[in-house]
Amino acid sequence: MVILIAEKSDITRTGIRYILHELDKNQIVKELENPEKFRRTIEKEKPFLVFASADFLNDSFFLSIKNSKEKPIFVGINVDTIALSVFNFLSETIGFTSTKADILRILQRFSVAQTKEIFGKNDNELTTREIDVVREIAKGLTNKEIADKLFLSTHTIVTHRKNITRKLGIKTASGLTVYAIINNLIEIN
Amino acid sequence: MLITRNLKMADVIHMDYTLLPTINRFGISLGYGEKTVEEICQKHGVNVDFFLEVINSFHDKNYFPEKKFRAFSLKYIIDYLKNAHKSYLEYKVPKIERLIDKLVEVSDLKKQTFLLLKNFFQEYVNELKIHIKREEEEVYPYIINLEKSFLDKKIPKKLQEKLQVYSIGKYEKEHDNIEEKLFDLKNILIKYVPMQKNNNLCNNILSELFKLEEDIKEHSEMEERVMIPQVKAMEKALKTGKFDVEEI
Repeated sequence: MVILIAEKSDITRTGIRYILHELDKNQIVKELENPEKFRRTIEKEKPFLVFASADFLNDSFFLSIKNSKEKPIFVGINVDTIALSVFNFLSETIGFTSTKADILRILQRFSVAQTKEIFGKNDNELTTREIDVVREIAKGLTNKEIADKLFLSTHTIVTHRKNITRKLGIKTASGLTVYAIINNLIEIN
Repeated sequence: MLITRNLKMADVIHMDYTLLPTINRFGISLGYGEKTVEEICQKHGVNVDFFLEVINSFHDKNYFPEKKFRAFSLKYIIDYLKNAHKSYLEYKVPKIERLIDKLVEVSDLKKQTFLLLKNFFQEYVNELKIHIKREEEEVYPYIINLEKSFLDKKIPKKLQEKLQVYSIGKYEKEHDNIEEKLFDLKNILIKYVPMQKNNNLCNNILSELFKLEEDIKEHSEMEERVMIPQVKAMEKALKTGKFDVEEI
């Protein structure tokens, strides 16, 4: 899950990134300096949380993303003088006097919600269906072939694959093959 | 702490010895005496500003001055990238291969599993080799040519024709994620290799994999954040004939 820092000042950007990194080393943090690229960057990186200064935030921006499905959560940086209409879109604000603890609280407030939403149940073991899919991937079948064989839609297989990758931390087909053999899901001939 | 030109090279190593392989890539080896970074660079004909930016971006993972990098000639950057390739193929990868071979050799029960890992790593190495070959034989020569024409403000006919059918955007699109296999291998080792007695060997392999991955990440950043944007700007200038590119 990506966090985006949209801020013109190098010092502020670096400071926020530094604190985020200290709080969670694995957090992917992207930075943006140029307000013109704001919308495009959000569409591309799909951050779940955006820290943005007043230079980036205005009515027309929020209007333009109003109808997009996956809207990030916005945290304002030094937005004391911002218009109320824009302020209302912000979930939190930080400023120069904010501490590490403030940022930690914001992270906790939103990442927990996010984690629950994505992971749903606490299920890190593969389901029987997912094991079936791993087995077929290991045999070298394509998504389409697996779908036909298991009487599922290709779309469902894609979803299964995403979940498998998330649970196992293995992205490539040949990596899954190694996994399948080690766990005796298939035999080598 | 940022490394500066007036520091003694020996102190730089005391501060962060993991920089040594990167320093070697500039053709600089141990035996620094009391010389400063600047003096050592001069002695080896290395551009000290470029050296400092590279070393600092390795030293501090949060430091990556795109703009400063973009001010250097692409020649420096490509030379550096090529040296990095060399160190992967001649040093880092063979080292991991030897460790995995050892693992296969000493294990008796799970030989099959480790042979699998060995094959898997070999697949990765092959992909890496293809990737590197393509960059060195196609992409880099194209960029060198492009930069030359850009500086001369003249486009030879050959390049003009090439520009009509080729652009760095093509390479960027295909700049596939070769790190995926490396990532998988790490997870297989960490999570799924059955318990056995060769802890030290496995630890060594893992730590080498982590190092290689970090290094390659730095490498891709240099390509994606510095080289490609710069090449794009030059392509644009050469196509439109407007050379006064102030801000690339």
